[in-house]
Amino acid sequence: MSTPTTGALARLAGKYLTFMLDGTCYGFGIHDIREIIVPMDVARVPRAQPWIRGVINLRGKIIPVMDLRARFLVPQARVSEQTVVIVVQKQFADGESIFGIEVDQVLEVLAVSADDLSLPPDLGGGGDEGTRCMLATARAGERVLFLLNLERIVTDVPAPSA
Amino acid sequence: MDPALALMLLEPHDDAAILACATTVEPVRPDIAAALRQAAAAPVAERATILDRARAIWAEAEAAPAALHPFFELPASLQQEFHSHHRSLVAEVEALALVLDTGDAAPLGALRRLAHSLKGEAGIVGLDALVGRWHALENDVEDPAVPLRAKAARFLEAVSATEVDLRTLADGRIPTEAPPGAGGNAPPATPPPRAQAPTAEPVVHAPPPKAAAAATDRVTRDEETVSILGEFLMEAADGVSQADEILMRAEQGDAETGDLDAIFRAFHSMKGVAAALEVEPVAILAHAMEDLLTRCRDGVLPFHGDVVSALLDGTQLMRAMVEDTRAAVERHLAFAMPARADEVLMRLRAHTGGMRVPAPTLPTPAAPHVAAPMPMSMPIAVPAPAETAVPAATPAWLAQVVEAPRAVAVTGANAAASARIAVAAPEARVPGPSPAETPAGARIRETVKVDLERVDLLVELIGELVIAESMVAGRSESSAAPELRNALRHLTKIVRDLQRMGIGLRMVPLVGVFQKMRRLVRDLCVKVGKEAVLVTQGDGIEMDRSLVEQVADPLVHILRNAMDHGLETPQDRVAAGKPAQGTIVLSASHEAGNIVIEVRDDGRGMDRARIVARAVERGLIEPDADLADAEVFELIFAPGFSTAERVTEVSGRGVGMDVVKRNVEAMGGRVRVSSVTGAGSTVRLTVPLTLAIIDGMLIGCGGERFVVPTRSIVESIRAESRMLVTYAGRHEVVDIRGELYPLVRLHPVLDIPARSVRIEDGLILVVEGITRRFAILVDEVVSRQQVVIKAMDDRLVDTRFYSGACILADGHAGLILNIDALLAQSDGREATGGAA
Repeated sequence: MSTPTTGALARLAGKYLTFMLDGTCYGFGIHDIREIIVPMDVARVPRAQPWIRGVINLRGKIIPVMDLRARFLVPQARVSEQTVVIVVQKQFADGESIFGIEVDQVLEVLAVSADDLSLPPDLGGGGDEGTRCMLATARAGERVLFLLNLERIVTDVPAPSA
Repeated sequence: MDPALALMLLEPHDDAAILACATTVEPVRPDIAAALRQAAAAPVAERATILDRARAIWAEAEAAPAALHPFFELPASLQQEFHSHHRSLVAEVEALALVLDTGDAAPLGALRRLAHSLKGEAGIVGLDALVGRWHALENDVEDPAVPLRAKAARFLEAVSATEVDLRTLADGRIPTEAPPGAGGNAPPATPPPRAQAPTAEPVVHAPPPKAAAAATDRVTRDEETVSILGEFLMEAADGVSQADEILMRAEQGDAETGDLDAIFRAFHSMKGVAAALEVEPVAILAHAMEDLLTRCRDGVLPFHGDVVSALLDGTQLMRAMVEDTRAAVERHLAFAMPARADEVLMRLRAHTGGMRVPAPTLPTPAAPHVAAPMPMSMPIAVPAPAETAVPAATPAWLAQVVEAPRAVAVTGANAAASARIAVAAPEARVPGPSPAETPAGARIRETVKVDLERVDLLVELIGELVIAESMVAGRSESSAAPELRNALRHLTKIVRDLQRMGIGLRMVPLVGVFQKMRRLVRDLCVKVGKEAVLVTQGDGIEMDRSLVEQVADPLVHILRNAMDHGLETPQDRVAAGKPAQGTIVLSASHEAGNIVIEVRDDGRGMDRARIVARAVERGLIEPDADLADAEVFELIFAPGFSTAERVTEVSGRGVGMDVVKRNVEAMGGRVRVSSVTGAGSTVRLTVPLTLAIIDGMLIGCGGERFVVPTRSIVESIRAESRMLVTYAGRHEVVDIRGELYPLVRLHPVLDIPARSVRIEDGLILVVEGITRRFAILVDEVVSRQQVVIKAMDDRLVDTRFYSGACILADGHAGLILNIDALLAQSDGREATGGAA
């Protein structure tokens, strides 16, 4: 598991879109975020990964929507007024992907300075679902904020059971 | 609210929010505010694009802006133009270099000219790395000491390097100097060579003996030349209009800086192209204009008064000439100097003192061609125009062509035209310039350049229109009044026509992709130490632009396999009684509304026994499985099969075949492989003409809806319980009029709750799989509809069971079932006794 060293931490300074999931505050780097939409009817994709809610028609593009609760193995919740889908446009080594991530609520765009950042805590056990996707922790006033690695959320997934 | 968040939360239909956001960002980013206001003013359908752009601008601003290279200070449209033009020239270079590589020296002249133009263009926009590269090549090409193959290799290297540079540029960075060794490295300071190129120059032919009659001679121009002429005339007309505007300004005394350069460039390139296409009247006039403009630019002559009025006479004449030329092309006539040309040319030349060459006076039949014997050797009296800042500096031959006094008739072998043909289709027509007889009425087609994005948007909107139309038509079928139904039927017809035209707009020929493949095969020959020739057929066949891009990847995989594993080494081939050089045929053809692309090699063929052994080893099939050849070859598409190093080394075929299959299926196509041991293999891709829209059957199953492409469905029938036969307690078979089909129950395969457990509750679709026909049990058929196909990203989602996504008639996302994957899954379940 490669955790960022202190030198690398400074590089993580920047703007983050913060959101709530199951009572915890997380952040995605702002440059990967394309827009935020309200949840819409999905077409379910049978036999896809359990955290894939389905696909939607986003103005003519078909994009998958990921349920971050399911991905992080936290209990399901009802879709509320505040539930939103963050649409991400992420560059990967072999091309770009656009997809949605459903979260409980978006908060704000937060400028995180190098001083606010610290290494992720060692949660032991080599990291289970979710903890491996952490880039760093940040402090925003009272709140603790977990900055997430979008790439890992997508690619570092357990092998599908046949 | 934070402006970044506000920007992201915007929805296209929310006018108030968009305007509010514009106000918020105004103080920081007036440009984004303007874009947002523009979005609010635009129709809702177009807003999403504008909003995306605004977000992109914001995101860019977040990243640190680099110091601007002059290139990036150019207006976006010019940068775009540079990109597309440079790219097309590079593609020409590549095509010609591949011809050169076959040992044919014919394209040398054209290559030198291309290198020269590329150098000029790159120089104008200040891309020094590119200037150096093309300059070195321009010198190289002349060097008799360098063998043809080496020249070809250098050009190809330069093509690759330039492609990389253009991508770098597109990413917003300036390409740096190429590492030494890439395509030679002569110091860019050396003046360009002025020697005569050895071959393939459009030779100045001596005036034909019966010059007087030339004007009425019928001239044969092949289709390609006509189309190139058409393009040229369009550009020339544009150039003339632009020149007129500038000259008019100059007459008023308010010429702007850059005006002179712009007008000079217009005539300079007009002269060059006209000379190359042998439109002498235009070349001569453009040259005279250019001469005069050079003097103005050098400050020798004033850019107003008499000079400008002479130039205006020139543009007027040029306009007429362009029209005459167009008429001449359409009527198969030679190009002739209009009668009043003399007078205008005199006026122009009066200023430059270039009176020494009498203007060619074709319309006066009596004029004796005294100067006839001297054209090739005649020294150029007027110094060639300054070559510093112009795109294509005048090569020596061009000046001579223009200066040579001779009859302005184009007859006989058309060297320039044949060089152009070589560019378009190098494989077939390079040897022997034999301009084909064109059918009567060679019409120059008028064209208009359109932004691709707008074409895509148009096609997308047409797609949505088709869906809306089918929704309306579907609902009114039963309820509407007769006259409304008639009107709707008329509407349907118009919409269909529109759809056909819209799809036609995006069609491009396959020639570009095929050319890339030729390059690939050439490179692979060197790499794997084999000899092979790629024969292409049907590269003129047109396909949807996006499909052409998507088909390239699978073709690369297939050709790699053919080269790597299919073809034997030259020694082995000779030992097997075959020619040492292998042949790979890449062909395209139309077949039942689809396009079939075939790659056929004459190699060793696939080793059935090895494939079977490997598949058993990997647990893909039972050791005692009795498989037909088609089923065996199907195994190479199994994911992971490819990575088995041993198999690929020994029996070949497999590297990336699963990728090929996935890509082709994502396009709504199929792959089939056949092979004859010792005689070679054939991979056959069947892909739709267009991605845009397919006919689909919307089926319901366990509360979900899926689309099955209509072309895969043989029939659909209401099942009866007596049709069902079960073999060995788990293999279900349906008996339809005496034909037995394996049954796939959709619910357990897709793991969705079943409604129809008894087959008589559901509906049976008989479908055509890749290897066999089979039956699928579904709950219901909802409707038949046209769906707009969309790509499905498989990075996040396991798309094994779907060949793509689509937009349904009600606007929702839908999934298109991959029936072959369903069959495979069902087979697996039955084999393990897991039938639900």
